[in-house]
Amino acid sequence: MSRRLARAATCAVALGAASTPLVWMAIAGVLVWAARPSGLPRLGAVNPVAALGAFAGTCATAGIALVLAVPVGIGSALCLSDQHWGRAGAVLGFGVDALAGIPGVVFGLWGYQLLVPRFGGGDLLVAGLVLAAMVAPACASGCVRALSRVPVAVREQGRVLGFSQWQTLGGLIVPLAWRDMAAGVVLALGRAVGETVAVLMVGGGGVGPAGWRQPVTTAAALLLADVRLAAADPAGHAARALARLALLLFATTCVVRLAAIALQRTSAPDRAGAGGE
Amino acid sequence: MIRAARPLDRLAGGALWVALAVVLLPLAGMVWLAVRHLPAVWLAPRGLWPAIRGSLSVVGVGLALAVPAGLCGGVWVAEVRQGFLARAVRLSAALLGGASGVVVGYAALFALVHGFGWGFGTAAGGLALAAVMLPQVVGATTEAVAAVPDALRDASLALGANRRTTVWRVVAPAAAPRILAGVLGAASLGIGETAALACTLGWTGVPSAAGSYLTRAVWSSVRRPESGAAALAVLLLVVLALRAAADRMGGRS
Amino acid sequence: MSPFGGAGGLGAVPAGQSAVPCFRAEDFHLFCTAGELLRGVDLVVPGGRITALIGPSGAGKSMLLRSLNRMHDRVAGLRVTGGLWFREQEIYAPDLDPVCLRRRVGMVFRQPVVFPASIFDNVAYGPRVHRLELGPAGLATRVERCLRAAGLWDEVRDVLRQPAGRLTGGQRQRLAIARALAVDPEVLLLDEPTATVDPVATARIEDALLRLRGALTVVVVTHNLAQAARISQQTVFMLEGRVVESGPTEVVFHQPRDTRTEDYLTGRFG
Repeated sequence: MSRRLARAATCAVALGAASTPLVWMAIAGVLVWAARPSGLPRLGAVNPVAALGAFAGTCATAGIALVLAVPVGIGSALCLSDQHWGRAGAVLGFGVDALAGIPGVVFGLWGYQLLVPRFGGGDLLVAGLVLAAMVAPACASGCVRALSRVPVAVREQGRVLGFSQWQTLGGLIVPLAWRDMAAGVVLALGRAVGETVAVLMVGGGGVGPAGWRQPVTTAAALLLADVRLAAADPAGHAARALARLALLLFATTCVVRLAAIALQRTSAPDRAGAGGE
Repeated sequence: MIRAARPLDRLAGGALWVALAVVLLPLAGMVWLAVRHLPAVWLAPRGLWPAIRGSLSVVGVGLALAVPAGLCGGVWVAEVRQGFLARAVRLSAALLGGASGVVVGYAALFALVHGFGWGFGTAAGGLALAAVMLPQVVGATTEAVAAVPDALRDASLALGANRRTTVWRVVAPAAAPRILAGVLGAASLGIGETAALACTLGWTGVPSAAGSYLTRAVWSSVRRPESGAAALAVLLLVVLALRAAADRMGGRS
Repeated sequence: MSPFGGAGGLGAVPAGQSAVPCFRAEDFHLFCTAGELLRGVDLVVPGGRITALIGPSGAGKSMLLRSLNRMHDRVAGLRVTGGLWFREQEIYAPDLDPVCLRRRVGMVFRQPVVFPASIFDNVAYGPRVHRLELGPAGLATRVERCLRAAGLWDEVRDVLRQPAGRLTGGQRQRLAIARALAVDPEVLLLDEPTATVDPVATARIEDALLRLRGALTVVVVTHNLAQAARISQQTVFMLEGRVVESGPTEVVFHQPRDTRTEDYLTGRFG
């Protein structure tokens, strides 16, 4: 009786657990179904959905964001991970974590009201800057986590060897944590790739990356901007072309995540020395 | 000779401080945007009620779906650890967590709103939001349960408790604060989601007046700073409060 | 049967228990992915006494102890050969439910573990999990009796409802003993129970173990030879995954048959 109950409970939990892969498969399946080929023009050929240009815009904006954000993100993570200043450090750390969790639409409004007027209109540069502002705290937050996983004993070892603070950081801690830090950066990149509304607000709504000061759009932004086309004719050309774009974006974000997983899998400084008898 | 700190070290330290300041700069800008039109912020919430209500209901539906499923998934990954299902959950949660809200939203639009004919509304929005929040809950639960030391499990097993009892009575209470923190984080993610809701509840670009929600209020007020400030203030306040609460919860365990 | 009469002096082995040994091992091997950890253990643990398992690090003492109530079951690639019996029951028999076994064979670990709950709830955990129908008063009596048996009652009688996390290390270890006793086990296995606590707490824990002698079979792994000599009636010396010598403590300590035992006891290695 109780054994049967136990088995039922386990089955229920397994069923609940299975819902996550099922949701992923459902989304992939819907997109594949929606994008199925049917003799209609290929990806990118359907006007007004300039899909490939938009995808190039995704790469350009994400690239700019990454170049700008990674140095400051890692720098502030190193600054924060050195916990010598108690309460102030906690407040600043909370600020960075909170900023990493602030929705894209807020960044978009920030860019629209504070950056766009100064730059005289939305363009590739502004979009890159706003994405960089989003990516940097995410990057910093991920790197702080990676650094905090390095055992305290390693830090002490640096002190014992007479290393300065920065020698300890560069010589002992970062070599142990760099894979996790890289994974954090890649995850932050994923955020830049998938961001929609912020780019829509500050990108100026161009076609592709034509120049620094030219309007730009990204795959995600274009998808949302043109959703009404799909809504207007759910079975038509636009819906199908957009679904292909969505599938491309979905695949891109999945690849980015897989890269992060591959980076994390081979690194586990916290596993060493944990447990045992 | 013993020197206090080398100049290069001091320079490096200074550079890192500058980096931190640059990262935090946008936060200051956002707070300024939110409080710039303080009287408007004070008066406007009345007009924001529909948006707040809409956000709450759709996030509520999303959490009601995502939390049980995410708890099961996280517990399975962290407790069972091996086997096909655990690997599938871990991988799919990671992949789903990276998916853009607009992709989830588009799939929901295609399948739920049009395909099943649900139309724009809380049902489709809640389901799309659940897909956005689910990986967050799975990840937080996995981390929380995995952080419970094995010694605690062994102590319970050694008393003759079985696996299920051990998870329920020992592991769950120990992991509860961090799980709750993860749920709060997921809620803040859901409140801030725009694109997925735009596709399922409607917005200015989508022909539907079905839904009003906070991020839409922020977005649609983009050309009117006064009313935008109120929506922004509410959104910022909610997100920061949820994050702070999650921090407190997670820090206690 | 209440195991906590407080009577049991030296040699007070309840009749009938001496006939069948509490644990018996014959050519018991244990393998895991890391290799062969136990290499043919032959052992007899008599009931109702305190048996000390001694030997240098890596001798397989903890491994053997954890085999006795199947705490290894989650270890990857675990495989055993040979025989290991608890009374008449083969421990690694495929149809044996490890949960039932562990209820009869309790265990206390090296690192004191408290559940994130009150002191009372920690001790009451076992009876509640096993749905022992004690009633509220019966449960309180059981908790008090076990805390007394573990020598902790006088220190915690007024703070039973406070979180157990506030206890000191030595108190936590005695709480773990009380918690293990609360399910009325026939055997108590202890894996270096005093390795992480101070001498005063060690003395309290040893007192508690001596009080349990006679009513309960106790198997204790220890690195502390003086402790083994102080509290045990039987001593088992292990080396490299095998039992080198076992017998009454006085004999093993004063007239060891094997030179390796003598070398270890006199401090030539280990």
